[in-house]
Amino acid sequence: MERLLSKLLPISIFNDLFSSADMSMLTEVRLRLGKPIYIATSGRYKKLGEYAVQKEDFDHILGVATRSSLYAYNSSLAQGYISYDGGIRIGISGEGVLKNGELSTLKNITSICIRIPRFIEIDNAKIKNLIKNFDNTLIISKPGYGKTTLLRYMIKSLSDKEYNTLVLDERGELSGIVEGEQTLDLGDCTDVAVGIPKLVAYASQVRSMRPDVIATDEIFGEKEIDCVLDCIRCGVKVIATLHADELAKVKSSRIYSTLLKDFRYVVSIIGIGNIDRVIDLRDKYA
Amino acid sequence: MLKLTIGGILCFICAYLGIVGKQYYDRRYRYLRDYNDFLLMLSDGISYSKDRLPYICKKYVEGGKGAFCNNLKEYIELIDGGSVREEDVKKCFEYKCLKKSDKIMLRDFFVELGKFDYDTQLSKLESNRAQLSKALQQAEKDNKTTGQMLAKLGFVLGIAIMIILA
Repeated sequence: MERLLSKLLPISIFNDLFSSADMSMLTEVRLRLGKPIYIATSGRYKKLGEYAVQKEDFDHILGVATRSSLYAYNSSLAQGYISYDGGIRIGISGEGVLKNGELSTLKNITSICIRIPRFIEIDNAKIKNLIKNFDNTLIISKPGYGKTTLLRYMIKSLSDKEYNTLVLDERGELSGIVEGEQTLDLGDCTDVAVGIPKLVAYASQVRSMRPDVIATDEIFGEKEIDCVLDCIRCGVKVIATLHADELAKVKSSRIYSTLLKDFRYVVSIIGIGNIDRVIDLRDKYA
Repeated sequence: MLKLTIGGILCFICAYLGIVGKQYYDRRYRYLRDYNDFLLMLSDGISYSKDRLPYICKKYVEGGKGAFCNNLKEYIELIDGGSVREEDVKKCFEYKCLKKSDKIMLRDFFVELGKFDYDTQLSKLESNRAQLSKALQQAEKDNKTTGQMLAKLGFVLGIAIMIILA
């Protein structure tokens, strides 16, 4: 990861980062035009010196991340991110360019958020028990608390138990696949649909790959919920993440509460990597 | 006999200078023609298959030769290394047979290449091709007229000197 970051970041920024942060715990680097850099290690943010980010720094990062081919990342830019090697996701914010009333791309970038993925062996009895008796599982927490990390761990664990696991990885963040190369190990029985819009992937990949389990990150919107429920109806198990403070908020949401009818387990994360509880919606608490 | 020998040497030098003069125009024309071929390939690569820039460049230089190919190889090293700075690009396309305006055209294009969204990149490419088309026409004309004239002039001058000395 250090090697990738040393290439991605301008050398002076990387040197500052290397000298002042524990690279093994680094999860985020935030750059805002004309402002100091902030980094997150173990979920805690700190300022990285007084250096104010320049436009040239953004040019460097985007040049490296897109292999000097920004034109090939239009759809990705319109969704506000670029996937880089090793599962690193670069979130981008700037001025939107509309085409026929729809967001076509971004220009005049003002902020970049580099998110560094981690594969962590989770030593948690509740999770191990959940994997042992696996059923449809929803992982909920606030952003940045480790939903994706837990999902990645569970995908690998299920794959190791020889479940054919299909990962719908639209952004390449779960698998770290960039240009066909997978950089994060998700197990031997895992298939990854990378770069395919999730709504398309649910229909096409489920038919073609016949998975036992579908894993997907960040369920969003009614259409996707319909797709997820359809998969469950077809007998495919689903493991998914959802941005939510707590289960009560999911229950009170008109849209997302529909998920709870068909999901058996809800894993709630209340702090950075802090798995609060595994709730069995059939009223069994693990 | 001495006059004849000196005349012969001077004739040779004049003819050589004429050929060198022609080569200057010839090289510039070939360079710009290769650049034009590259832009065609780039346009296809971007618009049809959205290939990445290093891939398109490497595909072009594979088995290719000539000054433009050599300069493009330097540019590939640059983009492989990360950021593309104006002064580095300028050095890449510093070819002695190019006019100042050619060098500016190349530098401006390659500095900005790959830094725009799809639509903007294609329109930049088209505008550069239009600019190049004019330069290429001029280079072809210069090659045929001025270049050949220099070659002939050198040869004629050499013969004339030899005759005078003889």
